[in-house]
Amino acid sequence: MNAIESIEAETLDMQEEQRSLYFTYPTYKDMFDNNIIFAYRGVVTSDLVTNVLEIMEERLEEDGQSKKLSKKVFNVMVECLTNVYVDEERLGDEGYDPQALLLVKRVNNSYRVVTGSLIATRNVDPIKRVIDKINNMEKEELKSFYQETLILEEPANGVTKLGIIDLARKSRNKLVYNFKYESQRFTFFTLESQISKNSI
Amino acid sequence: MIEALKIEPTHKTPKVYFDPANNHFELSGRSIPEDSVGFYKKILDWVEDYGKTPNTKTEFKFELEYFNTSSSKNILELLKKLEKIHLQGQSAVQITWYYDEDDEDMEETGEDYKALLQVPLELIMKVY
Repeated sequence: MNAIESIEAETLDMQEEQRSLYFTYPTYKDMFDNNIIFAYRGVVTSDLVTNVLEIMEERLEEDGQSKKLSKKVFNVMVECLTNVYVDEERLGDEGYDPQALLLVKRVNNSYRVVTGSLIATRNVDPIKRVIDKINNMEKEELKSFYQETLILEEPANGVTKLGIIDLARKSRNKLVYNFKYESQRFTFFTLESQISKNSI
Repeated sequence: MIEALKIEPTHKTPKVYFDPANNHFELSGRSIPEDSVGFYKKILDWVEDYGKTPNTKTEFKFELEYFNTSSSKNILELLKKLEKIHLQGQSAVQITWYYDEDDEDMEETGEDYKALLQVPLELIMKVY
């Protein structure tokens, strides 16, 4: 590489750095505007859950939240993260992305736990049907549905019917979801559980 | 008598202390493993074996901090095995389900199990 080429390469590197810094502020602003108090992107394991709970414990303490609300947020987070645990048996599968997204937002008197992950596109309709069904259930109906599913559903990895019912029951609020189609095989699934002070 | 089963707790798996010689049966702590089926297999197999020659009385204590739904399926299986031992009259099984005073979810889960099983199950609130 001659001197001119070397300067050109350095200039390109600087431009690349500038570009990455350029995106930092919008990311920060977006997190600030949406009251995101915790964000994580990556592979979710049970070791991570422990670390996340420790961080959240401090955050909730700083917020002066009651033990009852904190416990509720933790219980919901544990289940949310279970839904996006890495499926080690599928790690070798073509197109399987074990990385997931976790966001915790604080909005007025509530905390919202959001997970995002790729799921098989063929599972979109069954998941949608379950969420729509439980979003229309009263507390006692949800309890019966949970007990029935606890007995009937086989243990499985990933998003399960039991896991979704459990989230609706624990959060005491309707679940909010979104599906973003990526390909015939995979769809990005976002699920939001809301825990509000008023409902505990 | 079957040998005791003792598994040390980790930050993701519970303490398992099943000691028939001292009539001490305890499952406590966190249960959030990725592979809960794998973790509970050993426990379920042990309880199955214990059921062949159980003590006349079996006092079983659950004191869990957190657990996920894949663990709750396995805990149900464990409770069902204890129910079977109890109903066959081999041992008078008494289950105690502890929950923290601030943890209404753990209380509800205990109530769910109580509703689903025909084995004495007492819920006890821990007050600090």
